[in-house]
Amino acid sequence: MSETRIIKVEALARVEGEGALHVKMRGDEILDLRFRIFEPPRFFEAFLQGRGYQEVPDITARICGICPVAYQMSSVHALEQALGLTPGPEYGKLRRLLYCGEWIESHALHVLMLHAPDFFGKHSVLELAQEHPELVERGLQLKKAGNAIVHTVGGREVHPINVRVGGFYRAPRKDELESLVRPLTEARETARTLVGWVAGFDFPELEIDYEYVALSHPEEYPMNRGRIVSNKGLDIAVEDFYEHFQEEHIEHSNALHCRRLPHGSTYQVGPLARFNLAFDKLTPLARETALRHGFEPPITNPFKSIIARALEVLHACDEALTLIEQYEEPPAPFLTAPNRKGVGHACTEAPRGILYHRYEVGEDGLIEKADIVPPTSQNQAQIEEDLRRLLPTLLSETQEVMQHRCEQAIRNYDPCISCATHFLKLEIERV
Amino acid sequence: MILIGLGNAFRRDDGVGPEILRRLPDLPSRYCEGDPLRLMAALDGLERAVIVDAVEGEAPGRIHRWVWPDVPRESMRPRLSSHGMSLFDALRLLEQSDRLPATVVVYGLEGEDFGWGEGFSAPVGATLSRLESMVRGELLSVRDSPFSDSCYGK
Repeated sequence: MSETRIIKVEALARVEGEGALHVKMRGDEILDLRFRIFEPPRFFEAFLQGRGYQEVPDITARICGICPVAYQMSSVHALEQALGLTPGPEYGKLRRLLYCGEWIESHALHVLMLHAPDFFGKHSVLELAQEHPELVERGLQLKKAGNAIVHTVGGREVHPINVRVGGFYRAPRKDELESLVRPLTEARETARTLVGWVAGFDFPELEIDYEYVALSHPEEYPMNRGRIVSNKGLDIAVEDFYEHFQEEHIEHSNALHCRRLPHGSTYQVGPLARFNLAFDKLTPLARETALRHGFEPPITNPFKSIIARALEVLHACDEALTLIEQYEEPPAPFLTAPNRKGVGHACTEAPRGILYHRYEVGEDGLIEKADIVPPTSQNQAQIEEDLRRLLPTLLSETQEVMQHRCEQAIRNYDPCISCATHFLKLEIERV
Repeated sequence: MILIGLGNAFRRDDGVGPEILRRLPDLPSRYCEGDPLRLMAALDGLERAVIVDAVEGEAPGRIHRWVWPDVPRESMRPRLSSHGMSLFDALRLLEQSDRLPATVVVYGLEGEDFGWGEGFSAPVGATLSRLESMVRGELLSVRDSPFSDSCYGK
């Protein structure tokens, strides 16, 4: 007779949004596993229809309070393609600097406040901070450095307003960016320490043969441009996204699941994908730091995503300092182009992974159709797959450990349900 | 001294914090939404702070004034600060690290409707002017006073 056990958790903490996980097991057999997202859809793609293209970066930035820059970046690049605009490298570098600020802020929050407690068996960062009070100082320092970039380049801290199709509403002065050097230099040292700290954690044993998907560009670590590649041979132009990926509606989720064609397989996007596919594009300091801690590709343990995230904080601080040093104010803050009918696609690397946007623009400059595929939608099916792989390794554990490990595995992805649509109550039923 | 508004202006009564900031443009203020580290960074290094937030309760429109550490843990809605970290937890975390301002006053206005959309429920809308006046008084009393914490009363 199989033992009947039911585990219920009211809400999975330390994730963004509202949803639930339901697992039903008989012995070691998983009868049902559903990663439910019941946050209502927010219909952003429909809102955009009929709006002027210049409104799009500011509207899509509202999709997420943590990663608004990602939505601005994907939208402006896609719309510039539709309009035939090609801002020069000086705009690209400034956008990259802004994106570095968002990566620092988003990753610091997740690594220190949300994910680190899992590795110490703590229920909250409050408990962990009693033993490691230095984490608060680290978190605040990194937060302020990232925040300063977003404020200076993006115009304000929350939902930045300085990004526009064609460039920026106002290009920052060199001296404004130079004011960021000191906090970023200090943050870089903190990030280096952070990498060492998280690399020393005890990681649950779980190795999965993922298909990692990320952007690839010959000159830079994945962020704002490039082709979409994977470790399984995918190498496509962004324009061909829908030929290789398909969104599908799942009954138990208000977020669409995105799968690889032709077989409907799962895949992973985000820091581990970028790290594994573009290790050689990390700054020398980030690469050396990774190697010093024995962290080099291929990494197939999803729990080690926290190291990749910390490493990307270091990379972003380091690269931001280089971008500031090289900065030259562009001759004009933005370029313009006459309205024209067109289609534009773009993919950029949000902190949680590739974020695809596609727009059809009419001759009048109004949006006729918009498609947005956020990273958590893409990771959602892989999260379920990870849990299917993880649960059989936990059968001898107590209910509490089993439940906690499942939550930790979900947090490996820093799921942003607000973006995907939103997250989480956890329920494990053993029959 | 700084005024901090918490909440989402597109979630009806949750927008109390940003609404009070909008009504008091002459006072030093910061808006915080979602990210608990942002709130903590905004408070770090200050001597005093006044925080305005919507709370859940049984009497929509009722105003609470709490002075840390007498901030109730349960009545602050967790989703006001996303990722499952409440305002209480963020303040406690700063306190544990000796980085919490010496005086933190929290104004909580009990909301009724936290659904999608702009605008306030009738009981909250009818109370906003009173809350605005109380918050302004709180900030000015300290700014103009030679005294410090005792101005707040307990």
